[in-house]
Amino acid sequence: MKTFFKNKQAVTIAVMISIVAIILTSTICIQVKSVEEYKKADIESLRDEELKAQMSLYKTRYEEAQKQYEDNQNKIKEYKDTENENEKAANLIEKELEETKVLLGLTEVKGEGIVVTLKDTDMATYWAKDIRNLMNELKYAGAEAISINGNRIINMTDIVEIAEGYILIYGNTRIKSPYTIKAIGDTTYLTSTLNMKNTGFVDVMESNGLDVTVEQSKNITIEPYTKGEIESKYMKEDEQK
Amino acid sequence: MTLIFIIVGCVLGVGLGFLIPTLPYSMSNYLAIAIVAALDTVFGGIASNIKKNFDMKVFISGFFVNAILAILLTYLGQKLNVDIYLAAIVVFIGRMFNNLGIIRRYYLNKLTKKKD
Repeated sequence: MKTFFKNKQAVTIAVMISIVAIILTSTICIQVKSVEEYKKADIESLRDEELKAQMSLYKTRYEEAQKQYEDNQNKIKEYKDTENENEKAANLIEKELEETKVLLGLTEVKGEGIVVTLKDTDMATYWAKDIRNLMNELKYAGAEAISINGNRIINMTDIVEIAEGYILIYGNTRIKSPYTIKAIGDTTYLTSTLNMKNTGFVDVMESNGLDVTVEQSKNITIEPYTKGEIESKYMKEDEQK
Repeated sequence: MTLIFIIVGCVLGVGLGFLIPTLPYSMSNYLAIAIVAALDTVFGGIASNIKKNFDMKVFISGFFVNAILAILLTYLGQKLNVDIYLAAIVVFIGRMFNNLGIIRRYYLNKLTKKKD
């Protein structure tokens, strides 16, 4: 009986101690787990001091960021200024290019001018030299843009004949009567030059028995040059100048 | 036999601790102080066992009452805006070192006696 009692006491002590051990270790585990979790957790789990420290840190960071932002803003301003300048330059270059294109005959142009219609008659046909003559006269009279049957005449254009009644321009484009020549320029100048008594183009051609009509127009459209690129093989810019 | 019970209890406690979900952060302050109080009592128990005046009732009551008192004191401190839990920690840890010193000296004595 006594040993049993003693045993019983020992068992209760052991059980008590084990219960204590369970409670202690489990609470320690919970605590460790919680702390681990809160270490990664957000602002809500931070202590006041930590929050304050973080806030002051963010404040300084914010100020730094603000400074940097201002710096960047200034830089952007500078870049924008230079960009504007560049854009101006680019615009200028583009304008020049456009003007050059217009002068070269690569764009469609409009303006006042005259339309000359040449027709072969039963008595005679037009030759290339007649057309060249007309071109020359028109240019002399200040024509700024000329086209024959929709083919723009540029500075490289050649006009030759291959057979009676056929005239070749640009080396491969055949044209034939009737020829419609459009020219933009001062209308009165152009017409008066062509209509000069005896020596003018109209008089000369009519005396040869050919048909010439000259019309004035306030609004002529001349097509752009479309026959491929304008190339130069031999001439080069003199760079010494 | 007691040792086996303690080890089993520790293993069970670890398992239980991992099963129970984490507590909100506001609770962790209280739990920490309770753990410190409990640890103090455990070391006190070991020390008193060495001194041969271990009393189960004192041990158990110390374990729970100390922990609860520590929690209550911390709560009061938080309400009064005084860090009372610091005082509790100082006392508990100081006592823990005392008891650890007793335990250390006991085992040192044992070792040196064995050598002799």
